[in-house]
Amino acid sequence: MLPIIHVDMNAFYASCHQAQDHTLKGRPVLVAGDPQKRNGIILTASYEARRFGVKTAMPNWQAKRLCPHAIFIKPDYDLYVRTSSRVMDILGRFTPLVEVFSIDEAWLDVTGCEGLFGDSVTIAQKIQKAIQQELDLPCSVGVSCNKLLAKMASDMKKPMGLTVLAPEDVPQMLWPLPVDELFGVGHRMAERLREMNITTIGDLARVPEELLQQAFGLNGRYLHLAANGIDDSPVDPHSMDSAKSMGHSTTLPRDVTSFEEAEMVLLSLSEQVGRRVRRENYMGRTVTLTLRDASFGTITRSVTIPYTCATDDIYAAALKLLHAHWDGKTPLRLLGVSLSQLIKEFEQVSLFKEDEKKNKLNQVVDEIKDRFGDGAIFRAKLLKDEDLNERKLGKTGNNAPALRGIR
Amino acid sequence: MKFCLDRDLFLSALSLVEKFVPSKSPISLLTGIRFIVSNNYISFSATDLDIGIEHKISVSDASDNSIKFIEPGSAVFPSKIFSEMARKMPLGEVMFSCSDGRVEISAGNFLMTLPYYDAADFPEITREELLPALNFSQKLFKTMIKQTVFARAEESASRPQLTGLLVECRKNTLNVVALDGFRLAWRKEDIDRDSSMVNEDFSLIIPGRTLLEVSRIFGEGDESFTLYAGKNRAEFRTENTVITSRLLEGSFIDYEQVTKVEPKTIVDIERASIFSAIDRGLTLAREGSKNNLVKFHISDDFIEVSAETEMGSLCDKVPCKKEGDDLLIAFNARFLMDALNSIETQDVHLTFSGESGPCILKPAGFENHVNFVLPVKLRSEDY
Repeated sequence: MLPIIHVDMNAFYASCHQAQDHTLKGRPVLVAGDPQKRNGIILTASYEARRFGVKTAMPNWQAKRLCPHAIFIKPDYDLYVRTSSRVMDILGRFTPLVEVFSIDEAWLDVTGCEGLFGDSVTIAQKIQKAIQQELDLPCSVGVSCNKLLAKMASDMKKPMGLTVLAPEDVPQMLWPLPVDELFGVGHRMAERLREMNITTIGDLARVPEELLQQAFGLNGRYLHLAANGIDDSPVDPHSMDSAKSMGHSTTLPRDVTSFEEAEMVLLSLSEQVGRRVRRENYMGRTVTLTLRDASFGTITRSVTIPYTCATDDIYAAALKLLHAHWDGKTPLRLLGVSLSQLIKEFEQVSLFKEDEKKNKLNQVVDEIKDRFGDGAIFRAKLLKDEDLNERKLGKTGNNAPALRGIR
Repeated sequence: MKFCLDRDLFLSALSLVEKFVPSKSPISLLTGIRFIVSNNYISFSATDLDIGIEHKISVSDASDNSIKFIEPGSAVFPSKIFSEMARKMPLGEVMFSCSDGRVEISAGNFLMTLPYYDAADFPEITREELLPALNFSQKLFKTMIKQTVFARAEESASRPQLTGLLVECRKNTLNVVALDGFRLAWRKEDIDRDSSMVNEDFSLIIPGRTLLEVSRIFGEGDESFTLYAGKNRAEFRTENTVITSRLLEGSFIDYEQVTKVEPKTIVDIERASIFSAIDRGLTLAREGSKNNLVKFHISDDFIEVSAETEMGSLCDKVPCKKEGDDLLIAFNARFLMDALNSIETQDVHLTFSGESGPCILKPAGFENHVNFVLPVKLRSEDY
């Protein structure tokens, strides 16, 4: 019984552009922030470009040197979101049990669908074919008995792979892989494992669980189970709607090295988070800031504040964290803001009139954005940096004439 | 410096001051406890510069000769290991003897040495420039803190003064007020100007943390204390102890004004029954994502307390005496329970002024204790 399928879109951003514009087919396409500038970085490289050694997060100039005839394209997030929801619609035809994991990944539990569509491997083939024929997009599919192994399987052959990973094949197929390829093992954990002389998933599987628990606490148990291919988490189609946290992060189109720039990005992220939280009628009280530097060191820092959904409160907390944990110099590659400990929104009457004003202001700004587009109204602070405006305010086409006038 | 002290006497003094020792401080001297031995007392001090304490034991405090001051002097001992070790020492007499940067501690057959810091740079706890502002009963002040402190803000970036309590003398009344923006607790007591030594009105915002320590240390008997105040510091002095604290800056809301509202619904109800109904409501309400929301439906002879979450719903009827309009209103159950918990009378008097106005809770028959709780607005889907 291998009822779990993991679908992973191949080079998703680049593939979206190739599907939209057939002249790009078969050519090395690079989706990159700020393609005009030397110091932008690669967000996604098509497989044609990867053959030249181009990798995600590589600086543009380096990619250009490796693959001089590559086509650089600006990211079009609207296109990706639209395409992603069409992919998810296709998956939904096979089973209602679809867990969306990210914009380009999802799990399916096809238990009980055999009568309709055949066994899980047949379903996996049908999914791949449907996505290919209807959307002209490649994907890799993994089939296994649980979410962890299905995900590991989809990773094994790219692009357009279909890999079946049965639990009995774990020793041959999973164990020889380097330990940092195990789902949930990050860059830093891999480093610590290497210090313990654990380099492959097989090494990890053979370490006694107690030892891992000593070294990694709660994660130790997870590591032990994962290395042995054990995972009993269900495919949860509602994992996204009963959200425990809501966040936005952005890989910066170029390194950020000043508080002024970082603050603008933070404000725009806080506004996006606030707007989403308000739209879904939530409030939260833990604000988390994610910072990633150019060497991919990542830190997350949190602070707890009174329940809020106001952009100002989220931004103020994120700003405090930024100043406490960043020197304003180390080049930043990624910034993220999230709000967690979410509960259904409620309106506690306050003694202070300013609190109610703040809520009304957010409400009005949201309404204007809903009606006239994200660019119709925004904080004056965001006007300063033209380079960042494009990304923050979405597509120019959506923007109100007023903004174009200013520009 | 050399002295002898009974272990239990030593421990009780240590437990008073060690809470004031910062666990981390850029000034390593502050992570220690300062000892001063004079001819007739020994003092223990600790501070993190925001708040601090000095506690004295005098020779007369010990009936037997469990205190012996052999050689006067001062030193700062490292607090963490010191406190921990003190608890583990054998009963009876402990001897401390300092020389050349090491203190030798001996008790029975036990002997250990630890380093100590020079006490010269340790900040003085008592400030001479402060002036006496009030003399008042320790026990009563403790009660006033207990009945208000819960309503302060735990943390407030935009209004840091709300993490403190307003201690204010207006005419012949001492007021203690705490508020976090959604609720307010106010306790007042009449004072006699002569015995309280009040020369003029004053208004201080004292950090909640300080007052919690004060209420921990104050006695239950008829001892009094004197509050000394200056521009940005205040001190609580008792016979043997001084607690010093930085004051918070900023303004407080006009508590007399906001608690004056036009009553539209007035309810008299048994405190324990409404408390347990809300308590049951909270048990369910905190499970869901509705943030402790309980609803009150107030009609002629009952308050109907209800809560509803994704998990389930409950409803409870508590008999009451009501005057005025019927009312449907919702609250954060936690706020009401905190307020009801601070009330000691059997019955409680509630005043409401419409669905978005506050609930004012007073102990039946008393005007010196006011709780003010603002409601949560109901949306159409909550009806």
